[in-house]
Amino acid sequence: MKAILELLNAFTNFTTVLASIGMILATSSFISGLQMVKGKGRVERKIHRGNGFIAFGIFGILAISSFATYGLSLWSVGGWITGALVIACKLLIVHSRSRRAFKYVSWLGATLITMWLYLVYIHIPL
Amino acid sequence: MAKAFWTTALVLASSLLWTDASRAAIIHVPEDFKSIQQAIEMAAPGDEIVVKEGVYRENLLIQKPLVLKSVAGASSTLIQAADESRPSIKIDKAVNATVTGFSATGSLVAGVLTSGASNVTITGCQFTDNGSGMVMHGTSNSTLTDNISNSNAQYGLYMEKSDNNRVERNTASLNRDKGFFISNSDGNRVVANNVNLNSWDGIMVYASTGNIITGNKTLRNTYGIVISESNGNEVSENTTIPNLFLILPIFLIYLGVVSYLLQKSLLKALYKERG
Repeated sequence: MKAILELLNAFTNFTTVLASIGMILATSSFISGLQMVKGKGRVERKIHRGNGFIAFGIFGILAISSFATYGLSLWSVGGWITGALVIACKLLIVHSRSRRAFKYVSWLGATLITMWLYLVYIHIPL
Repeated sequence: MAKAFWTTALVLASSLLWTDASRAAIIHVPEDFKSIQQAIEMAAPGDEIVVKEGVYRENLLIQKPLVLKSVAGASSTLIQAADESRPSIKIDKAVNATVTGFSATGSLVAGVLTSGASNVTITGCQFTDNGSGMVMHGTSNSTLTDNISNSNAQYGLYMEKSDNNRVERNTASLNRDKGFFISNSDGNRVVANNVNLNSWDGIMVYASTGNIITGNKTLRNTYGIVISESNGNEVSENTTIPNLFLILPIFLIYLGVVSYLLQKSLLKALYKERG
């Protein structure tokens, strides 16, 4: 009961809700991405793209919100830029359509999931 | 008969006078004195100084037992250090001094510094953007409760050679070194504080014995609670990683999988209809 109350209490914070939605979308996008690699059809592609783009938008909003709340520090700017670079790198590889590069896409997807886990972690209210 | 009457009258008058003299005066700032420091200097031991809301640009020095309190609380009564090389509030060798409901900022040394004092009470205050929030040097039997000490350049609370103090229900977050640094101090009770998001340790106990550290929250510091070169300290029931940190990510991944399956079913149904 206490755990459920704690869980519900976490969602009273706007950035926690945003990060959580981002995590859910990133997970959906990751699973559909893995299915795409296996050669599944256009449904997977639509889910992958749709969820991925919304998650990227949420990433941007969270970054702006962080700068507005805590200001610009080297670590903070560096962290958000690194996150954006991982996303950009993944997009580049997908769009390159090179078979060799494609080997690393699932690793990048896993990195993105880890990044979202960290984003959820830092947005859990204390 | 007349002699008895005059004797009684004399006793009554003297007892009234005695009561008047021993009763603490209440001094109002800025009505009675423009600055808080003037009021402190003119106050007799045991007096109460009541301060209206506003920004007071001064460095306070308290060296006698008195009560300094604000009318409107810490959110609207600010002590801005006039000289940044001195603490915003300094309680020096005073016994039974009380500070309640002030904010203190702008000192490179400390928001409040107690030195060689005892039985000091600091409660309901906010110390932000100072060198350290609260500093205790050689202070004993004192109480720090319900204070906020955030975003200071070094420590939220620095305790050095200070024994038998109570530190309860304070918040020390986003300090750029440690939340609480307890050094060479014995027999203190550090209970139910929130010490989160500090750049280095949440609570550091160094070369100290017999302290009780219990029921504190120390989240998202580099290290939660560090005990170094110390023995005989009681560390119990502190929270460093709450259950939520584990439950929420698992719950969200589960929702992500469910969301994928739902979207897939919906889109498949949609394309079937069209096809």
